[in-house]
Amino acid sequence: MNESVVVIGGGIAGVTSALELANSGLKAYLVEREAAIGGQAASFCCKATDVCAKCSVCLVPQKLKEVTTHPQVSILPSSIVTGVSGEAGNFRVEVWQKPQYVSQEKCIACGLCVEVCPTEPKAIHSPCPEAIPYSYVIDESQCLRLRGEKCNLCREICPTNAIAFGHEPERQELDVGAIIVATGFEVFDAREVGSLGYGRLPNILTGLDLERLFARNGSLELPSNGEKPEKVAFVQCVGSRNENHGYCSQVCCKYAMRFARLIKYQNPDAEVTIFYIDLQTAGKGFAQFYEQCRVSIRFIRGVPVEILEGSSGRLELRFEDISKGKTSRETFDLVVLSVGMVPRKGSWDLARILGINLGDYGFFDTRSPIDSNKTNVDGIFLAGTCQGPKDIPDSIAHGIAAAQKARELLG
Amino acid sequence: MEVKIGVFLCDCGGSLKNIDFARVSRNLEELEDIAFVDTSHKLCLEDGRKAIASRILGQNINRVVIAACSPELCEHKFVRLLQELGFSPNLLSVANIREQCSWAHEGDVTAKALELIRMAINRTRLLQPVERTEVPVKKEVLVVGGGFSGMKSALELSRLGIQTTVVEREAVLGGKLWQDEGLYGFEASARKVLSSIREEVKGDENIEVLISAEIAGVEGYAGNFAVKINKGTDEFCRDFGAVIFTTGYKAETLPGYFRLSRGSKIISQQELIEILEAPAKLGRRPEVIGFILDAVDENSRLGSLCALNSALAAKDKLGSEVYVFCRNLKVDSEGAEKLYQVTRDRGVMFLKFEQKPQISVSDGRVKVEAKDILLGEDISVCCDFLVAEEKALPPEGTEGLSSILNVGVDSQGFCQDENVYLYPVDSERKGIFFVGACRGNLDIARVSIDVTSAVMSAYELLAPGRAIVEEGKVNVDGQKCRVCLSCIRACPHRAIRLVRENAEKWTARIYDLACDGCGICAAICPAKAIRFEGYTDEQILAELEAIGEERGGNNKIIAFCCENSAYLAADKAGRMRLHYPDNLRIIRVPCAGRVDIVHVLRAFEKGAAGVLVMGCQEGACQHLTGNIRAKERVNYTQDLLKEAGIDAGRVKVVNLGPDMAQKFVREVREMAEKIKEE
Amino acid sequence: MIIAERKPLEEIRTMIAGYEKILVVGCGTCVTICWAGGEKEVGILSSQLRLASSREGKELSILEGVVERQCEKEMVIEELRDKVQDVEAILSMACGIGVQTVADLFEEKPVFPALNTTFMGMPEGEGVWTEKCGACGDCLLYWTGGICPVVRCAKGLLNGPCGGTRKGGKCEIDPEKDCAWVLIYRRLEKQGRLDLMRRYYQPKNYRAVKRPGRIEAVTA
Repeated sequence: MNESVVVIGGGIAGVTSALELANSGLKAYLVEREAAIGGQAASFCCKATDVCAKCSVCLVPQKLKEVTTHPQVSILPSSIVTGVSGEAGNFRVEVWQKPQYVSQEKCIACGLCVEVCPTEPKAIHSPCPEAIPYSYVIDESQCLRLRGEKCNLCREICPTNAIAFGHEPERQELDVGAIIVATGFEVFDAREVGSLGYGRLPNILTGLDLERLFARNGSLELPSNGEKPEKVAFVQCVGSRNENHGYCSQVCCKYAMRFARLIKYQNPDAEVTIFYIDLQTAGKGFAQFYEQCRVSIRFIRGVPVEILEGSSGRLELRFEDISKGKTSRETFDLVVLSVGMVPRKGSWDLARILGINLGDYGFFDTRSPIDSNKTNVDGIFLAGTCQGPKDIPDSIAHGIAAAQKARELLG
Repeated sequence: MEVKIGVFLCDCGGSLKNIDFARVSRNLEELEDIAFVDTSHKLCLEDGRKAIASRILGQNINRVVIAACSPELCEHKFVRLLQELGFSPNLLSVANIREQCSWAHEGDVTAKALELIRMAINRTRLLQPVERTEVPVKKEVLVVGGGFSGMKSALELSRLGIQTTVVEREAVLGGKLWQDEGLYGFEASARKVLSSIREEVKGDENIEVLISAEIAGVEGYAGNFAVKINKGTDEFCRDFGAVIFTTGYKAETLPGYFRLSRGSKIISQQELIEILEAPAKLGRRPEVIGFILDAVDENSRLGSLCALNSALAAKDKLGSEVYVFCRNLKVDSEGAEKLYQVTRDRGVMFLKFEQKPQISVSDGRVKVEAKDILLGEDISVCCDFLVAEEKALPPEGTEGLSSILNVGVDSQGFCQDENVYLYPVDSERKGIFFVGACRGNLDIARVSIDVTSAVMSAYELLAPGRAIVEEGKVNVDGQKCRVCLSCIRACPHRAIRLVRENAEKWTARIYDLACDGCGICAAICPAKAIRFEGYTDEQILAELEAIGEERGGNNKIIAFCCENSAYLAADKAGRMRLHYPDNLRIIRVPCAGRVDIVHVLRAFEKGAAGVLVMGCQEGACQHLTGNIRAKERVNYTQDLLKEAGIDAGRVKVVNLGPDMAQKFVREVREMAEKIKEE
Repeated sequence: MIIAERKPLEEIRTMIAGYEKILVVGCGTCVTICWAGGEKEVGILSSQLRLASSREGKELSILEGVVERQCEKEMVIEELRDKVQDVEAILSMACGIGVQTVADLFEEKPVFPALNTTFMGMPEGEGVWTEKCGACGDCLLYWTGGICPVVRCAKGLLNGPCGGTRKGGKCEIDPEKDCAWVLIYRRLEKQGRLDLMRRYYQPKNYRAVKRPGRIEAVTA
């Protein structure tokens, strides 16, 4: 039995699995597609008002730091798994790493390269502030050199020789005893629901946009004119509980309520309305929070079908207020579409490579609801939202559980 | 032994242009106990580290100060290097002259950089090494509660080679699932599944079962718990390395709302299941069966899942008309939405209400009256049976248990405090876990994950047979200890106990393995008997010394920043190049709870014009009460300042999350404005 | 143990006004435990005094110290003998006994109390201390199931409740307090000693101890 494990995906679940494996004496390879680890949750924001809102986003930075400093974990950034052979206890995993024009080992984030980069916007730039590792990245579409022109300015000025062009993708083979799939989720593309106007009308954001906005700015301003919104609407179940996505994404009602409270806390005069089908309020510590929400937030049962351009750049929502039994129109400054989780587009490829099944809605399938880390292939386990929608604490728990299954296998 | 410090400056590839490194170097070289000041372009990379190594092996230095980027990025690299060289990593300080200096301010910041480095040097002079030692741990786990979760925990632990003892209050294993049937959501009957699990448990060599037994106390600490067990009239003590609580939940099967006259056809879930098992016993097929949800418990997942399964079963097996009255159907579990669709497709009718339905007896049947909001009409349904919604309550004895264990409960009374740092299954006490229903997770899928998480955590703690700790990193000076019990009461991790070794004097003692290094005890000790190496009073005050110019003539703001929140937010502000006034000096602490009243007062004495104590959001402190204590201490300090004629607004507590760079900057700017006003 | 509370800063400053070099000395026994005058509080008070003085442009130099038990002559001498040399006055953070011990031993130096000694009591929880004993010198706890009505009854009654007990067993005078006699009754009931309630207790002799008290123990 090989005493090491490949974890595919460096989001919160994958990172958790890797840490637990490492702490239990195994070696973990964390294969991450992007240049930085952390997945979706790393870009989320704290939603506390005067007290913690239990969104659990603050658990992420610690785990990321622990996993990058753990001697038993090797992180492979900008890497994907392209082939697997063997069986439980003895897998051979083929990993390809994208050419790292900026070496993560050598980049010290000094920023001298940006000063000399001739393009506008700069082709080489700092990653987002929460990126781990904090290494600079090159935008291939902007970079003169990568577009075939002559330019060596950044490479010449780099004090650590971290930049090199002409790299080829690198192939590696890892011999491991088990594989944990932790590839995470994507958010539902709200443009698929044309009538909701996302991407077409101004001041319509998704829940994910809102997370990033708060993480960047700390407060909510209208994207169109920078003013404070006075009337905000949340539309639930966008991309969930419908024909193509016949499941509840589990996180949206809670994040909508947490954001609603946060918006009101920062701007007590704002009116916030949540349009819903069934409010999902179960979960540890949420009952009290929900009671407080009922006092300050307007809940309307009935999800809007259409968002139209209103007067003076505002948004008009057409909806049925089911409790009142009539259709209505109302104008808002800002609309947030609470988009749900959908399987990642690459899942099918990975499923094929690993020989694991996909379930009804494209998430990876499991043996049984009470054994949701196991796949149809011995030795390949699932961690986190790639198996189905989960919030951060459940993803962490699922990641720990996946590690336990691997540990059990490897004895 | 004479202190000799080696100072290493890193100019980050020459990019920190607003710091005059030559001037810094010259200034530091003049200090007495500085052996040398080296400047490098890339200290964290291999060349830089090699240079450090050769200096350490060559010169006779016994302390190291590094001025570079944030310790969050580089400290671990230097720690590892020092460990490889056999040099104690506790004798190192890293001054953050990049994210929190060069990147955070416009213009020349040489003076600030110099001060930050001198703060680090002052602290480093007083650092002491800490040994790493091994603490033996007992490779045995106690599982309290022999239901589904308990048995599964024992089996999974056994598969990992860990001995387990399961203590069960009743005379049989199986818990609520055995009593009540219904492994809600699954094809197999719960009893069948449980029977086979029970057989597995019985046949497992690694598992010992004690039925009709209860625990009466858990003393000790992670790796070494001493548990008192009562079995019948016997009372005995056993040692365990970890304890997993799987005590389940208590169901109020017929809550008040459902209690009508005797003989009314309101039945519990269990009774419905019995009917479905043997419908012939009824005689007459029930024409209408009703379910009511959200009348007694608005936030129950289990209620929805049970109702969906039972409604489907009732429709299929009895062919009755089935109605489900609910307010918000909870479908945030795997497969729930699908089950809902299937149930609807089969003809079960769902009626949503805003106001709770009225139930009454009418002609021997149960009449349910509610306003269906979809139809907008008042509906009245007469049921042959109405299935009552259960109310899930914490298991019997939870209050007593949490008091015996000295751990918290959540706002609904279930085990495990709500603080997110404890998720999924931890408690304040390392080595004690809460799993499944007893912590409020009632649906079987989540319960199963809880079980596996706890098993893995216990395994990690115990498998090696020993744990490595920093010996005495936080320790009590037995001679100075006044046995006032303040630290014992205040420790959020219950890591301190009263001991009396070799018939000497009583003293408080901190158990290294249970200690999580917050420093709340060190701050609260009235006799100053607790020493937290790296963050002693002397070390913190030494940092403040480096700030002083003359008292009263200064405009510095000291920010005590918790390493889990504010320090990270400050780093993020630096990365985003959000600028704030350069008179800010950050002192990093493991928790806001380490900050003591005298630290704040001394800050003012040393010339600070304002002090910020910055920690996690309330309710999100990794050490549970650290930020609350910081707030209480700061409130008290404000009174003390007022007494001394100083504006109380010069010290403030700030709560923020690790991503809140904007709030960090805003608070600093506000304080800077405030102190300008004088 | 003895419970004390720190005086307001203004009062303390009035006492030390005019002195430029003082010793602030705490005690490591009772007042440490009740968070009034231990090493920590010595540090806090000294800081406050320095801050207040410097605000007014006045000079104030403070020497800090702690005596393990300020009411033991030997310990006071051992700890303070050298420290008192250079100071003009001594600010003691001990209970009244400690203050007087220091004052007796170093007669040429003015010794001031930074605390008010309040009562004899015990901790009820974190940071809360309550009075339990009034040092009456004629302990009747046998009769009252271990609950002292002299201190814990607002009226000091010895023969049962006054009749004004509020709902919930609270005191007529102070609704925050439990009625001591309700507590006593319940305690005796638990022990099956309710017959003691029938005893008529004579008016108490509050001069059972001649004040100032003095005890001479047999030296073995």
